[in-house]
Amino acid sequence: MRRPPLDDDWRLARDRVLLYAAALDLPPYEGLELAYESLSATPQASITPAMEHFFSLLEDRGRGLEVHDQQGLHISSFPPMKRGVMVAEPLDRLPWFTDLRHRLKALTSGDRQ
Amino acid sequence: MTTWRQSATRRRFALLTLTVLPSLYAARLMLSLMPHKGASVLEWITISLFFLLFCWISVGFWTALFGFAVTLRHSTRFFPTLNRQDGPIDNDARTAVLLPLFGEDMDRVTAGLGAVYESLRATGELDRFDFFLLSDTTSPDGWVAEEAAWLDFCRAHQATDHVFYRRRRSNVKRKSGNVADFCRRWGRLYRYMIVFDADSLMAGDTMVQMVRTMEGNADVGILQTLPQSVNRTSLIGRATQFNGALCGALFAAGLHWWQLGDAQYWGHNVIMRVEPFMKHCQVPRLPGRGPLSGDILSHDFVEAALMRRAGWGVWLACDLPGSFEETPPTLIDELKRDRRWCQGNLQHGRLVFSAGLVPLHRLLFLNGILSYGSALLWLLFLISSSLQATVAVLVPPTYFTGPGLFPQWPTWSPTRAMQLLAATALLLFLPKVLGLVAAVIGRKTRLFGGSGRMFTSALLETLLSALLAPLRMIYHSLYVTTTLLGWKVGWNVQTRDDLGTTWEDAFRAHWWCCLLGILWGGFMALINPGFFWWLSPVVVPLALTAPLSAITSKSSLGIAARRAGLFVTPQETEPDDVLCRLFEELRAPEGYRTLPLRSGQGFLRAVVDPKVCALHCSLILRHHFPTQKQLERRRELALQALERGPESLTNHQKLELLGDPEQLSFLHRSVWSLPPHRAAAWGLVHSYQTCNPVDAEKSNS
Repeated sequence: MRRPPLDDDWRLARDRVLLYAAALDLPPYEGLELAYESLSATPQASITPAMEHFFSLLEDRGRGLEVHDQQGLHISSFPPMKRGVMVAEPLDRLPWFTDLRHRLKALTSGDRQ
Repeated sequence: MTTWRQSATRRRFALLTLTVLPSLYAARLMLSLMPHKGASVLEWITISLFFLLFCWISVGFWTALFGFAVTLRHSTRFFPTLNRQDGPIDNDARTAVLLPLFGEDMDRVTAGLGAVYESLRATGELDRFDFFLLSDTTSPDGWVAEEAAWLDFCRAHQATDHVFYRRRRSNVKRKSGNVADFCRRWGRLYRYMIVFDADSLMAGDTMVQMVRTMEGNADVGILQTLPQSVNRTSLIGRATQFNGALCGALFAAGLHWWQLGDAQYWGHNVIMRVEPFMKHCQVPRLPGRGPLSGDILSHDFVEAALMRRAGWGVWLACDLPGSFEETPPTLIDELKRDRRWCQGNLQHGRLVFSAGLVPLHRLLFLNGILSYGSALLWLLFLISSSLQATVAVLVPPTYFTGPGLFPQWPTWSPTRAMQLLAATALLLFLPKVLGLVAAVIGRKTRLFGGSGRMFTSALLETLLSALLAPLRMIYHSLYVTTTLLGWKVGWNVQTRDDLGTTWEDAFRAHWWCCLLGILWGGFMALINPGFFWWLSPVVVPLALTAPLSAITSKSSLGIAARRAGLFVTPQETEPDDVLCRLFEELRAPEGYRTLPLRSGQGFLRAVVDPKVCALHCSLILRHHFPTQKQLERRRELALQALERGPESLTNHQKLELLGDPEQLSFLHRSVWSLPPHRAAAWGLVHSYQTCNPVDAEKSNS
């Protein structure tokens, strides 16, 4: 490996890539390997190209930012639905008043006839 | 259980008679103590209020007494658990356990869930149960924290096939809407559902027994358990849970004695039959405007009434152990919760005359209203008494009120006054004495820390209740009044921990209560010192509200009491397995974290932590169909966040970004490529920097 001069930019790029590899929780060798590859392929001592390279390596290896279930679909946190209906049943809150209204209505309509 | 209705009628008639007749006698006694024997309107108002309040406390007294008799006789008549099915449970009898969430502490939720889950696994019946974390959380941090906690839990307990998480975008109808949403989506997959609160706990064996009881009683729609209060360390919390352990079972047995199949649903620690619940128990919105309209906050009582209206039984399983809950840790938390409950119960006033409800549920609605309304009645009674005492001093008495020449002297009978006082004290305190007697007879004193400590604890708890009763009365009266006046009440989250109330917070919250106590007491002491002493049990605690609130919230005092063997409960002496499991889960060290982000920093974790970001994006991707306009707006938000940091976003904007996996991925990659001084704002710090993003920002600036 080409050994770059160890200035602050290199240190920052190295630490950022290693931190990401650690945060991914990959198997230790795989994480370090990815970090090694991305740093060694980075043309200049800077965080941005190092991380971009790291992301493209991850994608190449099929380790994108997604979690899949056993069928290869995006993970779901709930089971398949079996939809049903739940609606409020009619609730007459003042049945005596409704009754009175109906009677009055019947009475008035009777008068008209 | 075909004859329970006849027994219920007889029992309720007995309760009504025993409540009303002695109350009438007590009111007559009170009338005879009045200076003018009911000649003034003020006296009649006082007497009417006294009668209502006497009826109110009589119901509690007789309930406890009936419960005591049932407990003493070991009577199990009409217990629904007697008919439980003993053979293997039907394969179709699947049960969903629902945990509605609203911004809860996920460490506590997953610890409780873990305890229940493992307890259920130990019964061998785990495969018949599924758990649903039903989130109504509106904060972006809470949302991500819940998702991450769900996945961590599933991985730790190999529970991916049994524990599910769903978040609603809009929390319409709050908890009842949350449960209804579950029913609409997955209700048809389950025969039963057990509803928890975020702090509920239940032993696995109890849950299996509940299912067996429902299987054995085909006409039961709701089976409510009696949750015991546990896990509190504050003084007020410990006193409350001690009182619950001592008297709760008696009250529950008494309630079961006269309610039978017309019992109530208390909102959690309950099993329900899903099909009739979906068909009949959708709570209606109350038409109109104002606090007594709209969504019903206390939906549980209404759901029980609707289930009963449809002909299904609602029972209290007072003999099922292993059901637990946590009470509010401080007085302020309790009062906050009461504000919500008060509004909910007052809304029931609009449903009392609804068609088809069974008569007892109409009365239970009124009972719920009186739970808070009685405080206002008590306050009015005290005000009217104080006015009378003032009038007696300031207005010269009129001795010649009749047509003849003979004067009518105001008379005072101290013997009758003492009789009345003794009768009231008996009604208030005998249930506690019965609880003590039941513990002695049932040889349970050891579970309460021994006879001496149990009696001392009961005495101290009574004293504490007496001191806090006037404060509760004032606050409940305030709640009833403000609700009726139309002031809105929000859905506040309880602080379910034992942090305690600072003196500053206590004075800020209760200063007006202290002032009221001082002014009221001072005025009566000046005007009528004799009456002041009668009023002192009310005005002195009122003047001391702030210190009482601060002192009773202290965990240090609660723990000291525990060390002294005071307020000890059976669940502390011989804890249930599920409680032991909960303590183990809570004591377990936090897992290793690579990034210095706390679990509560949900939005930062979703942006920065690759695992959390991946989980969140994947959960959304499956149901993500944005419009072009949404995509553009979210892109702008992502760029704004990148430029100015996460603090520049409002919660609404954070939620919008969290709803878009593409922008979140873009933000994630961009943040990881930021230079250190800008990445620190996102909590992305290297080992040589401080772990706190805020401090890191300061150090960078």
